[in-house]
Amino acid sequence: MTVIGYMKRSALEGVLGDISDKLEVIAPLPSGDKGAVELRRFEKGAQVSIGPVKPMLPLKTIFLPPVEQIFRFSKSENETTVTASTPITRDRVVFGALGCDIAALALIDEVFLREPVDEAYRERRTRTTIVALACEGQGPECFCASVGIDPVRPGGADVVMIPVKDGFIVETITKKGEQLGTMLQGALRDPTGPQKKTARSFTSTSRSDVDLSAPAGGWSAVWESEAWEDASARCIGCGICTVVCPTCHCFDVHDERHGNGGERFRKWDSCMAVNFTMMAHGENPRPQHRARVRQRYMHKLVYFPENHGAVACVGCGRCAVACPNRTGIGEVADRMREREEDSNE
Amino acid sequence: MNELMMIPLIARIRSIREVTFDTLMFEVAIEKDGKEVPFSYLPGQFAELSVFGVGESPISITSTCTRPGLVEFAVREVGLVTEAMHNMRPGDNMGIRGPLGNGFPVDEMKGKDILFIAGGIGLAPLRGLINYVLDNRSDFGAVDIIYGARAPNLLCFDWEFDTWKAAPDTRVHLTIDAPAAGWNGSVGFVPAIVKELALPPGNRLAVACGPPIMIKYVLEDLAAAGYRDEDVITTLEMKMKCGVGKCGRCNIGAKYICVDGPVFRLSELKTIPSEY
Amino acid sequence: MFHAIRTPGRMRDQLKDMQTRLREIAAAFLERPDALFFIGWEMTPDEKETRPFFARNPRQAQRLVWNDLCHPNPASYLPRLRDREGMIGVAVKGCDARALRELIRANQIERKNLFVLGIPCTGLVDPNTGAIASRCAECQYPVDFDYDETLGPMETPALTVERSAPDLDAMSLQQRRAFWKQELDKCIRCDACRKICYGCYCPECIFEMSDPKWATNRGDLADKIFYHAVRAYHLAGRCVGCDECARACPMGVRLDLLNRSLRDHAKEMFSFDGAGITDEKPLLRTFSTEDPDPFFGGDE
Ligand SMILES: Cc1cc2nc3c(=O)[nH]c(=O)nc-3n(C[C@H](O)[C@H](O)[C@H](O)COP(=O)(O)OP(=O)(O)OC[C@H]3O[C@@H](n4cnc5c(N)ncnc54)[C@H](O)[C@@H]3O)c2cc1C
Ligand code: SF4
Ligand code: SF4
Ligand code: SF4
Ligand code: SF4
Repeated sequence: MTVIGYMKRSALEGVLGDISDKLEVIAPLPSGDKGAVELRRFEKGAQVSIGPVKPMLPLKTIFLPPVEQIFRFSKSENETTVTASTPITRDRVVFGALGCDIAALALIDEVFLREPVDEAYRERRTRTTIVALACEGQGPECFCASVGIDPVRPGGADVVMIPVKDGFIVETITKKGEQLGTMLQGALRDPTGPQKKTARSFTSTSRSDVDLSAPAGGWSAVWESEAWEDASARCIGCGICTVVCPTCHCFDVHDERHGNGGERFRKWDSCMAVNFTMMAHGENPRPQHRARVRQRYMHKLVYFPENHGAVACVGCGRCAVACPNRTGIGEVADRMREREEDSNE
Repeated sequence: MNELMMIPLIARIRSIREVTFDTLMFEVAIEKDGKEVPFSYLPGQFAELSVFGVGESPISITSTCTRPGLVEFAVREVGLVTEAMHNMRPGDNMGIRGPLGNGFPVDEMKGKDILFIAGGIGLAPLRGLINYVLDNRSDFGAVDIIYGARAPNLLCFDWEFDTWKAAPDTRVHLTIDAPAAGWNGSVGFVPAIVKELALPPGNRLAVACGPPIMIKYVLEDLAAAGYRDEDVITTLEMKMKCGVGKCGRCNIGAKYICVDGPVFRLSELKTIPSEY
Repeated sequence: MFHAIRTPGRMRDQLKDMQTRLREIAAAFLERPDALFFIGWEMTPDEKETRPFFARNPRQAQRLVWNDLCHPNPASYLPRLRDREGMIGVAVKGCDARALRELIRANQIERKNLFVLGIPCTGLVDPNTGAIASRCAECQYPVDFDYDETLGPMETPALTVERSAPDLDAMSLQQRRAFWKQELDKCIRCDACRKICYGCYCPECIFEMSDPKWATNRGDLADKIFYHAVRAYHLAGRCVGCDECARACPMGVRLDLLNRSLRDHAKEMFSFDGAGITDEKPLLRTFSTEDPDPFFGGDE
């Protein structure tokens, strides 16, 4: 980690504009009229949103787009030509990424970068430089600190920008980050002593008391937990919790025909959907809400840790905020650990 | 690696053979950039076959790698993709990604007696393994094949039975669910035949594939007959899309059927939830 | 614990009394041997909103709340519970009661399997603005609904609340088209609006079918418009205006406005104002040669 300078807040859009001549720039931009924020391509003249608002759709959208073409095909007589789609055409920089979202990429990497490697995902990953915005906590829902994430200097970031009065202290972390750093040079000044001090002592309000650990004994210890009862009774199966979750990565594959050709694309899917596991003949191993709700939490809290050594939750709190019925994972994990005798039945 | 991941090669249909009234067998040659390429696989593996513009389905490879050349798939018509496959003609092409999945543990099976148990289309993945075993006959002990279907005309791959019967130290026990005109073999459900034959465990492995209800009873019977969970092998089926452990839908507990399976020992199945 | 921002103190006490009675009634119901659960509301863990709650025993009935944040519509859970054996208790305010009435009329749930507690509602508060929710201005209670018990006379609160902006009818066709394009493009097709809707009880929605396939899966603007247009028409004359779709939408799509114009038009063109209120037949199940036909240039 190297402090490379101080950048004024007012210089930010200009700097991003200059970078956008060379790289594709993605940044949190205002969306709609209700103060919402969205990660989208930055065009010159746009105003970046920096403030305590999380984009509702997480950073994963930049690496696993909601709908993504896999290939196009064209047919003649007896031949079919398959042309793989190009995931991205330019190197990219994501500005203003949050610690929770960046940490989630490391979890998705576990799945998409293991053999056989998902080439489209890898290409997006390797050709994107991630600039983190040190996060002081975006709201009461945040609990990334509970799952071992450093919201100020998150692992996985190439550059970190730490807000100080009227600007940021810019630190580079990786080689990729240093390269980007050279593009920022023109807008940087030497930081003052107080600015450095603020950056050093920058802290987050993210809660550190949420416990997502599963009880000992693996899946069988919680298979019949009461936790699934309450959470599934009010659940409507909309799958918003999986849409907004920065670690959820399930997809469906569809074909579409257009004339003599067509395309295959993948599209986000959710274990909360009835059709997720519905097989031909109408057989479904998870026919009720309860089984699907259980799958979601078991995957995050039991199966993923078993396979990859970490819970598949980065504590962003989006699921609780976006669920029409406000079911959050922390609350479900608490219930899951309750033993029969101390449950409030 | 791309052809495993999401971009298929071309599977050119060379011939189509009727297996039963709703099941066709496709013999295909694999092509890459317009040229035929070799395709190597293990018994028990599967491939994602696609009809361009309709979709993709996981289908077991039913041929054996001991007979290089065309690759065979038996497809039962049940939905959109399989229906589109049934409308294809020799010369047409499908997409193919594979081989996928773990396959049968053939090396660990060597030196053992083997009891094959299959019901209906469940013979498709086993046919490759049976032919593999018979092609390497001296590596394996005694072979017994119990195979059943609802009616005589629903027995798949009937052209194989005589060859199998003629192989050394190999017996084939065919059965149908209910008496039928012209049938003079056994009548009864597969689990009943397993019980009746009462082949002792000893040095024997049992490999069972078929509808879930048949598997359920067969597993109970084998346990009662003293087979150890490590010596009972079966395959699982779950809805699948990517076939390479990424799309997230074929897990049972922490196991993904497409990469950790579809072949499992009963001892492994007992460590995962019974959500199948 | 209330976060009623606009509800004055005197009324807050009244709400608290109602909550006490709600808990008593639910607890008494749950003592019955044939009772499965009682569907009402509980506070969310952050205590800022409420969410549906299925109380399964008298002790859990003490978690139930009634206050001016009780937006969720408990009746929308009933169709999926129709095959459960036993009695289901359900608390309904005005909009929920309209939904319940339509569900019973459409044979989605049997009246005899329900214990219905009517709650006279004085208008709910929008937790984002702190003001009375705009739908409450148009509230109407079903007049002849047979509640098992009520917490007071079931009367429409008759609030004067301003209709929320924008006024679509004041827009030109072009403006309106632009408005809806922008609104619907926000949609991510999660289908929460459909899944939370009391009226979307079809066992297999056309948007879930693969054979025949009615809609593409591409998710572009045309797909989104098709989805919302079809859903709107399927709900014309059945939408009871509980605004649950708008509340559920994670992207803030103004589905409340879409449904409101649909209700307005049903009223203007067909004098239909009956969803959940009267015994009038559902709009799309009636036809009259007198129906106006502005589309084909008939006389309006
Ligand atoms: C490891 C494995 C091996 C199989 N081997 C064979 C075989 O040798 N012969 C054979 O006829 N069938 C086999 N099946 C079942 C076959 O995959 C399904 O019958 C087929 O996918 C149904 O597709 P459809 O489009 O016709 O049906 P639809 O109902 O239209 O299905 C739509 C899509 O859902 C998925 N899907 C639906 N049902 C299943 C299912 N049961 N299993 C997996 N994916 C499903 C597929 O991606 C399919 O394309 C196998 C399944 C698995 C998992
Ligand atoms: S489970 Fe919830 S809190 Fe955890 S990462 Fe996903 S959306 Fe965020
Ligand atoms: S299985 Fe469910 S919880 Fe797990 S990643 Fe997929 S959608 Fe998310
Ligand atoms: S967001 Fe809430 S209601 Fe929707 S599927 Fe998830 S838990 Fe269920
Ligand atoms: S809830 Fe909102 S985002 Fe989801 S399908 Fe409905 S309108 Fe679209």
